[in-house]
Amino acid sequence: MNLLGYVCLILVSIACLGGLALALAAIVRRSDEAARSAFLAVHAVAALAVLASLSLVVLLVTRDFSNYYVYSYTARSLPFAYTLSAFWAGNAGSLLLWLLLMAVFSLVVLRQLRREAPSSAPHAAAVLLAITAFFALLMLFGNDSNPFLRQPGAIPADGRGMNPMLQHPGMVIHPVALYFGYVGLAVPFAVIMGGLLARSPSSAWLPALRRWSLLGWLFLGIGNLVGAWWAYVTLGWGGYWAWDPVENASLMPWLTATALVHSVAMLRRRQMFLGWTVLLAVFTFLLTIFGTFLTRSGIAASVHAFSDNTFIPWFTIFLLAALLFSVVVILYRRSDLRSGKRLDHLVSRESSFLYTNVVLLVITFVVLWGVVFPTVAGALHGAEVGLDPNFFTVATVPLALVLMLLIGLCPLLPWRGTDTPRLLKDVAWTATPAIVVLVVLLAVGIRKPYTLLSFTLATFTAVSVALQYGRGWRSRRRAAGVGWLRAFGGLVWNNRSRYGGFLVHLGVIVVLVGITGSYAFKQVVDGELAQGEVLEVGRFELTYDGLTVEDAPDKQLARATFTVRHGGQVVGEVDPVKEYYYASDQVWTRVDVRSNLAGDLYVALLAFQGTGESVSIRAEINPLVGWLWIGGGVLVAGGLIALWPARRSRVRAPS
Amino acid sequence: MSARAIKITAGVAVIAIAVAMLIWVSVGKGSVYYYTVSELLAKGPVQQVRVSGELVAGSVQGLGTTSLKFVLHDRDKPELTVPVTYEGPVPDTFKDQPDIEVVAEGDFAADGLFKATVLTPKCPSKYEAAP
Repeated sequence: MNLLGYVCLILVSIACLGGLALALAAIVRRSDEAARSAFLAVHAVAALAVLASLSLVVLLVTRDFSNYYVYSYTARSLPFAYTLSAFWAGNAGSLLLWLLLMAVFSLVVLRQLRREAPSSAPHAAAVLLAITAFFALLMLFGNDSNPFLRQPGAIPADGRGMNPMLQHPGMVIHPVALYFGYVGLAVPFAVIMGGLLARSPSSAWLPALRRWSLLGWLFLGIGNLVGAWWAYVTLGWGGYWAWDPVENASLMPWLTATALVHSVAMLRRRQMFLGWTVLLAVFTFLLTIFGTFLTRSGIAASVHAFSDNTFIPWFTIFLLAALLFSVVVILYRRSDLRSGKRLDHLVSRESSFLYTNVVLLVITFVVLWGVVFPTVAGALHGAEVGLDPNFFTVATVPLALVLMLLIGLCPLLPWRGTDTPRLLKDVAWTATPAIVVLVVLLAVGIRKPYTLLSFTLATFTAVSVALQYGRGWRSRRRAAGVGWLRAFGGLVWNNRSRYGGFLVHLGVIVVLVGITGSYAFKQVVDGELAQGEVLEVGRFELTYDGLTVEDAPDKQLARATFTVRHGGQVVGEVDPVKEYYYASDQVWTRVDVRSNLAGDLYVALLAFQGTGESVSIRAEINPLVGWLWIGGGVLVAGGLIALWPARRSRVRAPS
Repeated sequence: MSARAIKITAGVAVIAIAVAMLIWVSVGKGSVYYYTVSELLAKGPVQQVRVSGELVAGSVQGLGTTSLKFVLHDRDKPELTVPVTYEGPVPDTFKDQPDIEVVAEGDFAADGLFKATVLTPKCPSKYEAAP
């Protein structure tokens, strides 16, 4: 199996390079035969990547410790699910997953392009094969990047096992979703570069572009959300986002992908924003590569993993090549990028898309600045200057508030121009509940300006989204003459991109409400408690009942038990755990969280004395944090609705 | 220049100035100086900075509690050391092992003691298997 996987990797590289040569020949000689051969190569690459991945799966599930990767990330005691997820637990395996997704996605999108935009398919194939070739060669020639290396020396009896923090459902999903997103966002780049180079009309490649931009955006979003949830429940510091360079690395392409999705919508509906679309597809792709580079090179001071500085020259060259290629293509085809239409009015639906794009790009730029600033400042001043999370909150919160306003305002604005009386009427409808909320918040004594603004704007936006749904629902019921429920289903189903999009907006707002609540009203109390003593946190009283120590084959668990009271009434129990893993000599603080819609009680066991005579704990109240995950679910549901493929003959309802 | 070009230029200029101001303010509120042990000793007493160094093996007191004492030495000049105290939750990855790189954030007092409020062990393979 080791040999099979290794040989597959070599053959993938050869097939990529061969296919690339054939695709280039097809472009230069306009030969359909060469194009067909290039697509055969794409099929071969996909088949070989699948075969290589299957070999790794077999190696993992048979726990073949003659393989160094299997030895490094699994052990006989590791549960089956985590033995499979060990596929992407390490650097080499995750690169193989990347290669697999890249090969399969290329095949799928090229089949679509062959059907819908055949003239651009060889160009797109060349771009996709070049990217795939980069990853295949990186796996073969990089240090610690080939999962099919044999164990040097004798075959050990057991593996080293997986880091306990990775043994969590969140860490099974998070990396896969991120890679789906990262790789998915390479596809729009290839589609649009292919379309530009072949001078294929945008209507031909637009369906492929739209589908893959949305898909990449959705999965990158899921990856980030699940990563935040994992950090919250496993890392034990009570937060879900630390503005760590690696987190920023996956936030930035998500922001530009959001703008890309909006630009594609404008291109589809109004044949505008072609230049924006091209630019955003390029930015997004470059940022995914930059993000991979940050994550894997260890260049930024991050607590995240995968540092291998032999990757630095590889990624620098690839990033520069991709940048150069994009600039050349854009300059070469700049005359095609001028879309005939211009914005008619500074206050219109179209212009609100433009402002959204600008704000998203500005947020991306600010985050990028925060990521690279320490390196730049270090080069300029000698002394290194770091940026703490304060930088990011101070810089991004006002921008996020502007974004909230835009999300609410956009659907109220008519296409092409302004109908001022109607706009004022709509704004009055949506602003009134927002002002009521503002007054209530002021009455209960909240004075922080950002918090007030955030909740007020959230109300405004939620009402504005509800207004869109309500109006569409009512007119559909009247027009179709069906019941309320059927009218609602029909409304959403026949305008999936529109109403899916609104649902995503609602999800974003709910996420932002969760973030605002958990930042603005967070309470943290540290305490050392002897048995029977009480710690007060927020409206809860925690009484320390005792500590039990349990022995398991691979670890020892110390579990502290607390009774939770609220106003003298017992409302439950929390039992945070500290685990000690013998094999890896690692400690894991497993927090206990009691959630409801109002907020979480979050308790971590920091230390214990002796056999539990006293314990040190950190107790936190994280208000509204559950809304972050609920909003995330709404966002994903909206994205799926928008992404759901259309039947071939579809009737478009007027919007 | 056409009226449209002027409008676009003005718009871009306004946005650029706003972003520059935003970044300026944020950098002011969020920057922290980053010193090595030798740079910190040369600088003398200073507040709210980060110091990075390697852990002197065997110097850790209070492991398993929430108040730690340990000594960091400079990566290149191991004879230069600084004692550090820290109160709070100890990260799971903090272990008494030689040459673990530690970043501590806090105040460097005149008595030569670094009082840390944030502790980050920089383990290059945090999420990878133990070496």
